[in-house]
Amino acid sequence: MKARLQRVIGYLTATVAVLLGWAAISLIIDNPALPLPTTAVQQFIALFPEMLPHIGISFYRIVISMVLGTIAGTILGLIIGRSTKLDAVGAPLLYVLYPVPKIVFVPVLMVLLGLGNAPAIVLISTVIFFQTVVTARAAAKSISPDLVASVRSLGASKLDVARHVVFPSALPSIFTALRISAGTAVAVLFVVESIAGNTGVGFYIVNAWGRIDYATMFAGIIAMALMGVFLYEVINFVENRLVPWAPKPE
Amino acid sequence: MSITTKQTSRPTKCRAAIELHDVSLCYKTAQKETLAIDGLSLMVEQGEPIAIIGASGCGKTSLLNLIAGLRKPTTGTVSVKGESVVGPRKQTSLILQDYGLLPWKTVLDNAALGLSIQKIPRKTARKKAMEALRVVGIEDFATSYPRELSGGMRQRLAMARAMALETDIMLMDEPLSALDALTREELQNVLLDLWQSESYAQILVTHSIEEAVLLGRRIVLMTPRPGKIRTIIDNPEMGTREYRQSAIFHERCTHLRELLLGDK
Repeated sequence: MKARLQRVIGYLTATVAVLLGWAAISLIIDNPALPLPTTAVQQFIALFPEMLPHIGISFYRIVISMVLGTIAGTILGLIIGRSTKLDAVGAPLLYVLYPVPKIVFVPVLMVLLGLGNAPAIVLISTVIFFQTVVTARAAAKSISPDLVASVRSLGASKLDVARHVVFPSALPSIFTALRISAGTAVAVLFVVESIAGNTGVGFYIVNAWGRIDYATMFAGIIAMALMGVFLYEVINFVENRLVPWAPKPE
Repeated sequence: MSITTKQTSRPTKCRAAIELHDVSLCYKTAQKETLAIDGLSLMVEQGEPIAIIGASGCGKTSLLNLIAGLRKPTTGTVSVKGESVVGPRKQTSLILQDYGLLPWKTVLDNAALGLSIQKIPRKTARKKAMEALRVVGIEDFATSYPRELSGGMRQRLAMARAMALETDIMLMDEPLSALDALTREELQNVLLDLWQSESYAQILVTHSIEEAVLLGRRIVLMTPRPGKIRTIIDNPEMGTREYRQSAIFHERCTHLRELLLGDK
């Protein structure tokens, strides 16, 4: 309970610090492109009902993509991490594809999948997938062979070992990957929405920008930032539930 | 004691708990072949405690893996309770140096792990596991996680996991080597008591001369690479905590030390 209170206080302090910094910069550069936080927040509150459908669709895209990318990446990463044979094929493939910036495929995906949810979901899940698969593979490789031997000596099948040893031991790394990918996911989402289609917070921001309506643009930016924070907190919450045994990072 | 009741209730062909006949084991990696064990034969009786001692890399761990069914011998036969070993067996317990505890499971779930792998209903498994925790004296920590336990308590937990499975073959690979001297002595007594009350056959691999003499009715000395039996020392007087203070104990430790020093 005390830890939770500390967390809330931490968030509040950080928010105040960010708003103060923002206000200071805004006053110094004195340019309509960077309105005062008070103006932006007022606009955010005023336009919230209008933004809600956009927030909803952006959220839908990001959550679906994170779930799909994480599940696929975890399963594949753990499998190739545990199998020397598959790793011999999978690892080089992974390391060739991993550094390729997936975002450059937006035009291709738009041509192939249209302007709806599909290009966003495909792209974000792919980005998340690569981050997770690399992490999961490393986690699976670092499992102590003694631990596996002990559990096997109890009569465990490969599936038992996967369930009792491989998966739980990789969970903390998976959550770290998820936390990192939450930020990436929001960034990729913005890029996709700003290029393709006419829905989502990304579109909303770029659309306001096109109308030179900076206050509205910043209302959208606040919405996007809040989405990021919310995602991060959801991940922390789930992690606390699923990984109560690990020493807490913060 | 229960040793005798066990023997009368079982057919006589199973007198040997563990039988290794002319066993050799060769590891093949891409670079080279290593002969870990070469022509080793050993018979362990029901309820007999054996200690194995020898330099690092003499194939002691490989030997335990063979008996536990985690590896197959390159040549020769390994049988447990009269049956050829083809894979891990329910009532054979293997305790490795790091105890093989799962950090993500509570103490109780760790103790119940073997049972849950064997698809025993959760309720029964937990009951048996709790009973085993009581036997080793850590039932108050049932809901803790292994990282919250001391080294000695982790060792007890590893023992409890074996107890819950009603183990009849206990294989231990330097189980106490990570403990400080006093805890180690305390745990040696725990091992002794458990062996007395549960009467399983036991193979204890150790680097400690005192531990071998305290816990082995026969002490097997192995030669380094490839692992072979160099000699076996009979130690029939073992079996009580007080043995540690006796003159014979010290005499035997000295003898063993001389033999080991002769290796170098």
